[in-house]
Formats: sequence, C-alpha cells, structure tokens
Amino acid sequence: MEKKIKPRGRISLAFASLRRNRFSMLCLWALSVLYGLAICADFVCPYGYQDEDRDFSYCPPTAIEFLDHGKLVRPFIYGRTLTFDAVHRRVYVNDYRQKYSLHFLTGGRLFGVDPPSRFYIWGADARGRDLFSRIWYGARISLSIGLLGVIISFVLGLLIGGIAGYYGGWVDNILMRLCEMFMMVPGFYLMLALRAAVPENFNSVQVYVSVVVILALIGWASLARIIRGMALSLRERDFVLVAKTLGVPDIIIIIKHILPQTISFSCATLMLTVSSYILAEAGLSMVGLGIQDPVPSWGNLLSDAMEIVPVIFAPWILLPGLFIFIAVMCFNVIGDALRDAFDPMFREGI
Amino acid sequence: MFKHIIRRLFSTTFLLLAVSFFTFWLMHATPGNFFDSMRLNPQISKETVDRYEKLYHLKDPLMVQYTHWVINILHGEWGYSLYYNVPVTHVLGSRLFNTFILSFASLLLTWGIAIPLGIWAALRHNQWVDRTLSLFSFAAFSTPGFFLAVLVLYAASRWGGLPLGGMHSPNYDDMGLIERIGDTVLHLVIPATVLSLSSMASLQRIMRGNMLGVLRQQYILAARAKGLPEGVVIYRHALRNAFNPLVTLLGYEFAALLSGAALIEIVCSWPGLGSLLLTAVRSKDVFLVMSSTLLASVLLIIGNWLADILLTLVDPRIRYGKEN
Amino acid sequence: MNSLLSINGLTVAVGPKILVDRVSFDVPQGKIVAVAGGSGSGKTTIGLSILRLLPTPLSVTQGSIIFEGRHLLDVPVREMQNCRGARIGMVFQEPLSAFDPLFTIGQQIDEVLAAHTELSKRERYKKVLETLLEVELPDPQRAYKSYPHQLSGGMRQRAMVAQAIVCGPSLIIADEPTSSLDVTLQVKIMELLGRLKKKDMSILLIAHDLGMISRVADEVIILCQGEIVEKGPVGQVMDRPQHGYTRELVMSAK
Repeated sequence: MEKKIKPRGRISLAFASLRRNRFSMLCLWALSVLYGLAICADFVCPYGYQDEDRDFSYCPPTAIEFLDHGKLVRPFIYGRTLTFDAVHRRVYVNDYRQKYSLHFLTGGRLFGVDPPSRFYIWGADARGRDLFSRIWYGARISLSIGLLGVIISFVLGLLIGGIAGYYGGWVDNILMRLCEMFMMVPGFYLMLALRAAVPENFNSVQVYVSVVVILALIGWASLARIIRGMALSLRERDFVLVAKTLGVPDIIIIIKHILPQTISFSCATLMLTVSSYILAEAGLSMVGLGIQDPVPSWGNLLSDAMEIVPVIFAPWILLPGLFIFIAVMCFNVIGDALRDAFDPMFREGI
Repeated sequence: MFKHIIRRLFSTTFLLLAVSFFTFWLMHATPGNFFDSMRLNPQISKETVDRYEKLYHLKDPLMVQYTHWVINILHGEWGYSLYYNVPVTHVLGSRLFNTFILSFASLLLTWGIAIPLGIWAALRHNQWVDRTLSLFSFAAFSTPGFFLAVLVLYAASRWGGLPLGGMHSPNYDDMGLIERIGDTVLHLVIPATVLSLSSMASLQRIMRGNMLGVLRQQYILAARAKGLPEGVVIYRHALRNAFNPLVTLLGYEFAALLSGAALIEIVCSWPGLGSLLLTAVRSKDVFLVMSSTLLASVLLIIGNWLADILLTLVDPRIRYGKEN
Repeated sequence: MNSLLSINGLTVAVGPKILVDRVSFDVPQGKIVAVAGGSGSGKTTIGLSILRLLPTPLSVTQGSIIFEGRHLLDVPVREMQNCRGARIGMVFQEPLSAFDPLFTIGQQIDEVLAAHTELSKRERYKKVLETLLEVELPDPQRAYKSYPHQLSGGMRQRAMVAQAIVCGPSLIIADEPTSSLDVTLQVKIMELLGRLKKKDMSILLIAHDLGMISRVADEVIILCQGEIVEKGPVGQVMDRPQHGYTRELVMSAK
C-alpha cells in the first residue's frame, strides 16, 4: 500500500513547487493562450488561410481609426490603393474618401470588414493572404505536430527503454544497438533522409502524418536510453521482487510498476522534447520539406522570410518566428522547472 | 583501455553498416526508380548510365545491390549525382571541408565563451549576474537558430559591416592568401555566431550546474581545510572536476553541430554538407542523399570516439579502473 | 598551563535554530579530547567552526575560539588560511570523497606543503614520502603515484592522516575517522592516532562510538543536541556516567 502512495506524493509535491515558480506559471498561461487561439482560429481569424487577394500583396498592417473628423465613432479602416513610388517600390496609400467599418461577430467570425476592402492586422504576404489568420491556422499545425510526435516518441521510448532496462542481457544489448543506430545520424540529416523516402504525391494530411512520424523517429532513441537507465536501477527494488514472487507477468510489472516511477523525470524531458520537435518541424517546413503551401505552419510561413528583400520591405513576415520562439521558450521553461522540481529523484536515478 | 577501443570499433562498424542499409532501403522504398530518370536525362551519356548500372547491379535483388554499394564505397566509388552531373565524390569533398570550418569556428566560440560564463555564474550563485545569465541562456536556447539567422542577416543588411551569406566574396579568386582567409572569416561571423548561440546557452548552464555540484563536494571542503588559497581551490580542484564530464559532451556537441549547422548553412547560403543534402533531397538525388547521410554519420561517430578517448585520458578513474 | 585550544561559549545557529549551544571546553597540549554524541548533536559543526569552514547558512553567533593564543574567530581570512593545514590538520570521515579524484595522493599531500612552506620540489617529495612511511603505508612511492580510487579504504585513511600531519600541526581535528572502515582497520587507525600524541600533537576526536574513544582519548565531552551534558577524564565518565544520555552511550559501547 505504501508503495502505491509514494509516486503520487512525489508528483503532487513537484507540481506544487511548479506552481510556486511564477515564471513557469506565466509560461503555462501563455501556452494556454496560444493553444486556445489555435483551436478557435475559425472564429478568431477574419479570413481563411487560403483567402488571397493579389491586389493587396505585401500590404502593411492596417491601422484602425477611432476618430472621424475629431468625433469618436465605430472603429473603421481606410481604403487603400496601390501605387508605385519613384523607384518602383510598392506603396499603399490611404484613400480617405473610403471608409469601411469594422464589423464584429458577423459570418461566424469575431471581426471583419466588408469586401472589397481587406483588414490586415499584421499585414499580408506575397499573395495578399492575411498573416494574422495564417499564423493562427498555422498554430494548429505547429503546436499539434510537436505534441503528437512526442506522444509517439514517448510510447516507443518508454516501452523499448523499459523492456531493455528490465530484462538486461542480450535483449538490452540489441535494443540499445537499435537506439544507437538512430542516434548515430545527426537529427537534421535523419529528418531529411526520412523525408526523401516520402512519396511526392502525398496530400496535406498524409504529409502531416509523415512529418509526425519522422519527428517521432528522430527523438525516441535518446528517450529510450534514459528510461532504460532508470529501469535498470529500478528493477532491483523490493517492490519489483515482491511482484515477481507473486507471479505477476513481466510486461505488467514493467507497465504498472517500473514505468510510473520513471514518469516523473520523463515529464520534464517530455516538455523539452516538444520544444525541440516544434523547432524541427519549423526548420523542415521552412526549407519546403515539411508542411506544404497552402496549408500554413509557422515554419513554412517563414520561408518567405528567407530572402532578404521581402524582409526589408515587409518585415511583418518575421512574426511567425516570434511565436515559435515564445512557444519553444515556454515549453523549455516549464520543462526546466519540472526537472528542478523532481531534482532529488533526478539525482537518484542518474 | 586498448581492448575497449577495439570493441567500440567493432560495434560502431556494425552500426554504420546497419545505418547505411537503412538509408539504402529507404531510398529504394521511394517510388520512382532513380535510374529511370537518369536514363531519361539527355545530358547523361548512355555509357555513363550503363557503367553505373553495371556497378550497382540494379537488376539484382536488394541485398546484392546493397553489398555492391558497400564494396563500391570502400573503393572510393560513391555514386553519381544526378543533380550536379558529376560523381558524388567531386561534390562531397569541398562541402565537407566547408562544414568543418563552420563547425570548428562555432565550437571555439561556444566553449571559449560558455565555460568562463558558467564558472562566473556559479561563483556568483543567485546574484544578479547569475540570474541575468540564466534568463539570457533560456532565451538563446529557445530561439530557433534559423530565425535568428534571418534576423541577424536583416540587421546586417540595414547596418552593413558583414557580408550577407555565402562563403566568399565575388572577387575571392583575385585575393592573396591572407586576404582570402580574412574574407572567409568575415563570412563566417554570422553563421558561426548564430550556430553557437544555443549551444553556448546550454553549455553555460551545464557548466554552472556542474560547478555548483562540485563546490558542494567534500573534497572542496577538504581543500579549504588544508589551507589552500581560494584561487587554487576553485581553479585547480573545482574547475577540473566540473569540466571533466563535459568532455563527453564534446562528442555529442559535434553531432548537434552537424545537425544545427545544416539549417543555418541553408539560410546563410554557406556551401556545406547540410545545404548539399537539402539540394539532394529536393531533387531526389539518391546517391547524394545516401552519401551525405553516411558521411554525416561517420563524422558523428568519429566525434563520439574522440570524446570517449578524451574522457579516458582526462579521468583517471576510467583510465586506471580498480587496480588494488 | 595554557591550553592549546580553548573554546568558550560557542554558539552556532542557522536562522532561529541553534545547533551548538554555549559549548565550552579546552584541549590541552599533547592530549586527545573526544567529543562524543549521536548524529545531529552538533559535534561536526564544532569541528568546522574551529576552522571557520561552516557552510553558508550556518554562523557563529556567540563565543570565542582561542588557539595558540589567537582568537580564531576574529583573525583575517589570510591568517586563517595560513593556520589551516599548517597549524591545524583535519582528518575526514570518508577518505574517498575527501580526496580529489583527479589528482594523485602524492600531489594532494604535496599541495599542503607547497602552500605553507618554502621547501623545494625535491624536499617536498622527500617529506611526503617520509610522512607516508610514518602512517605505515607499505609502499610509499607507489601510494604517492596512486589515485584515490586505487587505494583500499584503510590505506586511503592513512593517507588522509598523512595529509593532515605533513606540516607538523599542533592540533588534529579528526571527524569520525574510522566510521567508514571495518573493525580491524578501525583499531589500527585509532592506534595510529594514539601514536601521534607522542609527538606532542593534540587531537580533537569527533566520534559517536565510546568504545573506540575509550581506547585512545584522555578526556571525553558528551554532546547532546548541541549542549554539553557531561565532560571529564574518559575513565571516569565511562565508569561513573552522571547523565542519562551518557549512560545510554556507555551502554551501547559495551
């Protein structure tokens, strides 16, 4: 009975100390906001992610006007026309005769303006697609891919690491060689090599799944090694011997007794792995090998930014990078705080 | 110690074979026969196609093909690049060297800055220096390298001073040796700095953690009890013990460097192994993909070996084991 | 007769919690004084206080420590450093963790000489070998070149004693010097410490085993939760314990 209560005690103690750390709570809130907005993208964003209007290519962020001739009115925006300046650069000039009111809660969306005008909170990309909308639709992809990949990595890592550590001997040897095989190829190279094996005619859903699988494959090995190390030391413990003498089948012992003890440290690693997966997907998409246009992901939104010229004239296309940074940083902070919270156990296990 | 090295040699060779087979199988699992496209390419002569077909026994089952591929590799025949229209070896050599330069510069920067900073932070534990560094480390660690590269390039384009990517200036060929070196160094600044930033951050934290851990040890108390000056206690005893475990990191660092460098190479147009692989994957250039991946793995393994050997040299507990 | 070491009203606290409460005792020249007590009694804290090596949250709030006529708690750090290792040597409980694993035994003992004397390298080497011989290490040259993990527990502890006495200090603080050893080795090390007395070195022996203490110590001080509950010549305390706690300790030693 005592043994069952202990792991729970540790976990709730650790989470309590996590809650005390104000910075990590801030990050937790930030992440909730990000995920929340991603989930509600259909409602929050004024445009669909494919909604383009080439007349407004690289249109800068639209200013919201509150005063009309000095009077407070319903927020509106001016119409814009495209002209070219002396050196043939595009410039958008406000047309003060045309006013378009900001509508709220119309057409199933939080806000918007009447056509033909377009409301770009954060500017437009090359094809006139709203960056704000694309960022939040992109959030769906970027934030979910990391999570899904980690879940798969974890299941793989826990199982293989647990089995290897528990049985030891030749089972351990073979499984660890397998791990080393995966760890032997540098992450990005492995990703690219695996990606090269994915057929070209995959549709966006299939590409999404492929990227998830690829991410999972690059990370499971180091996880498995850590779990295996912990399992190796855990299997000598009394409660395992007791379970064995009671005739509990090995696989149950691994799943019910050993793995839960590793969960505590695994949680911290989980957070850190999510952040590295988000980065990996972003990198892959940015070079055109991940999620493909028109489906947005924070990574492929940045591929426009790889050329210097667009960045100089439309610096808002760098925004997705900021969100990648925020998401990654939040996961890192939480993961680090969790690791510190579980510190004494961390020391024991390693 | 010698036996240990030999054993590692065996296991890593075996692993290399496994990885190469895996890559090989992966390439052949892709629909679309590479050689079909090669045959259809008017720029490649029929003799070349026939020659490669013979070399690689394409009509034979997978295992036979693979065996021949391995044998060919050992003979220095690494395949033919569809995209570049030359044998793979012609492209790999210079690209490899370029990646090396970048990785090496980055390594110097990282270790040269992170270690002193880590020590400093540990000695000023929980004071403002430590906390500020912690925050910076976190931020640096979380910043996507490729994004930072874009930002830095943008900044450089606005304020000038540094070349915007590539490895050589247009008039490189006209320069003397010293000028050439200077030119390369100038081009190195942005990619190497961006590359180092995140590993600098994590290394600094690790060094700090190690240092703090070591300072709590009994032998540090004993050293002080012996009346040793504080400088000796910190820089002779604490530092060495804190630094030792980092040596294995050197090997893994190399792996992370290769990986991280790839993306930065692409953004900064640095002609290295990573950007080569990208081109290869985009154009489904099978031999190039396999060769690059294989080469990257070999480099990683060498890096790990070096780290192992270094650790053995530097830690007497491993070198001598239990004798009495 | 002036005592070598004189502790008066020493109080050590961490925040509101008092670890050592107004402890006073003397260590005369050439005698072995034992401080005995269970864990948490504060005995190690006393030893560290003398060397001014208390871990940061702890501090001396009251009292004085006079050693060779100097008020140790008041002297500048530099002088304290000169005193440590040279005038006061310390023997730790667990020699494996008290030696730096990356340096040889010889190098670490040599360090003490280098820090406190003007001897040349060759002279230092000779002196270290002499001292290693003195602590009865069978092969001093081999021991010099060995790393801590290469020696057995008993040899390591002898090496630690060598490290403590190499500069010829007048006081040795021995903190549980035999707790990590097996019984036969314990006896040997205690005998070794006992022989040091003949060289006019005083020993402040910190321990919990009265049996061991009674073999070598001249005086014993019984510490319970930071307070002295009894003190006196060892024979007297062992035969006629006055305090309840002392009685317990004596019983467990028999």
